[in-house]
Amino acid sequence: MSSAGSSTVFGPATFCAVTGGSRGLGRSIAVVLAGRLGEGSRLVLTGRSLQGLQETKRQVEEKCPNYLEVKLVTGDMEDPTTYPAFFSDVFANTQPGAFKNAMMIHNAGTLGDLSKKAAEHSDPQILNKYYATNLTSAIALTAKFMEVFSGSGVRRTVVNISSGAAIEPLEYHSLYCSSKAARNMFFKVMAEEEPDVRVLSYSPGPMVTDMYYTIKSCGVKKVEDGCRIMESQGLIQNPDDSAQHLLTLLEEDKFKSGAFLDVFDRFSL
Amino acid sequence: MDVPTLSAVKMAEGGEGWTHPFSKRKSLCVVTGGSRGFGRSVAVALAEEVARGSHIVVLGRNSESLRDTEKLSKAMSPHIQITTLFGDLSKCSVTGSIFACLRFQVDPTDYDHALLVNNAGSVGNVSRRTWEHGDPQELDSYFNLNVASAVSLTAKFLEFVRPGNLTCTIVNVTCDEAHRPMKCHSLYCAGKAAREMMFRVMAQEEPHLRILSYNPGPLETELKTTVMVEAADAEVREEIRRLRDDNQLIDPDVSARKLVQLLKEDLFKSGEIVNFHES
Repeated sequence: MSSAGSSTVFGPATFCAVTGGSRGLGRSIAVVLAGRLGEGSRLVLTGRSLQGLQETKRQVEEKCPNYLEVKLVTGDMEDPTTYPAFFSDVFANTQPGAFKNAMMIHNAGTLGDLSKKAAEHSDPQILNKYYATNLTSAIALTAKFMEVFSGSGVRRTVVNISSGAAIEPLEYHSLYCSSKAARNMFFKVMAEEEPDVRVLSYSPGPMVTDMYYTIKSCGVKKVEDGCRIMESQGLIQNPDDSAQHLLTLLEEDKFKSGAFLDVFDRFSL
Repeated sequence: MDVPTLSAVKMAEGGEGWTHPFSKRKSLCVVTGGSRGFGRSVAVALAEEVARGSHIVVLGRNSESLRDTEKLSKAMSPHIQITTLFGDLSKCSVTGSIFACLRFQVDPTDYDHALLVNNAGSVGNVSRRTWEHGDPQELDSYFNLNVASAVSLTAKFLEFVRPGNLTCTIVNVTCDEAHRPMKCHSLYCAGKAAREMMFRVMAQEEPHLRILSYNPGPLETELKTTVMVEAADAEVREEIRRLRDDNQLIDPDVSARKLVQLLKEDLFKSGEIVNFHES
């Protein structure tokens, strides 16, 4: 395992933004990263809960030496009119020339209303907010990230936290499945257009997080039974382990840009 | 779980008394994006096939062009009703008002079969690369039109026709780009991938519905011309030009008739993606 600052992918002077950093996988990614980012690095964490973000920051600072700057930005991605101000905050005072690496990790995501079947999603306002949070925001934020770090010789990486749901239809998860499918395709196109950017879609697998408990208690028997089966097979992981696996993939740097990889290595492209 | 179609069961029973959804059964059809291009072709192809007393509702953004679609459809069959509705599906409020409007004009209990063709869509700004899609309002509008409206329209349509206890078919017009990443088409690829997945989930959840994702093939329409001229990537422009020069672009009327044929035969597996080029 690389020690802080010795990796060529992360190493010193790395800018890294992680969305959804207030809990769950986002928090785990931040903490695992903390051990890898070197001198002069900056970690920006976004999320809806300031309290959650502060706890993540505390855990990050506990783990890593003082030279990592941690910045917190709170915001809700439901309303695209708030994006410009939010994104400005994320990249405020960022001198691209001060960094060797820049990484954007799109981890924030929501499940949508799991009690509704696809044919019941009749409210366009709810759908609009859902796709804003789970699709539009990631696209617009990537655009801002690329704008900030373009032409600067910085090694850029974009990670799309995905899911098996991107390729496997799951009942009661139509919103989640469709947004993940959309993101996978978007980032595949990005990989084709931008050969200098390392693009990875990563499926972290089922983990012990609030999101998992939401799924498990959604009230739909089929879904709840599915969770119980996975638990009995020992498939529900600690998000720290999944975060670790992601960082290993990034450090090994062998993936084809645009690939869709999974914590269990079940599929790759 | 595979639920045999009514048609398949009746065919297996020796074909006697087998009627496909269109013949002798009054259909209520809604086609979105019907002002021009493939949507218009579908409206006209349906007008040719549906039984007397059927009703085709065409949605679109251009009133004048909608009138032309209406004329062409009426010319196919004087015995059916054609209604045109103006609406911009990139706006959230429109799906609700469509059915509020239809409730005054259409009684679902008058029909035997309901069909919704989710065709409305746009290719997005192909002169932009993935990282240039930074305008949140533009993205919002794009996914409203290309994803959210198809989903909410389908849900509202099903709710609307429920009192009639009709057999229902839902079509999602898709394309290669739902699976094949294409430069300059990041939004289009994303939107089409979202739709295909949405309708695959729907097909799993609703075994009594007939759901078809139809890929009409590369069509000779304004959409393709736009891409050929405006795409930021020279290879993309060249690819379309080559398709056009090699006569590989398909006449939308021909593709629409193929779609209608698939609907008549009603043999597709619900949730399946069927391509024009498959025989």
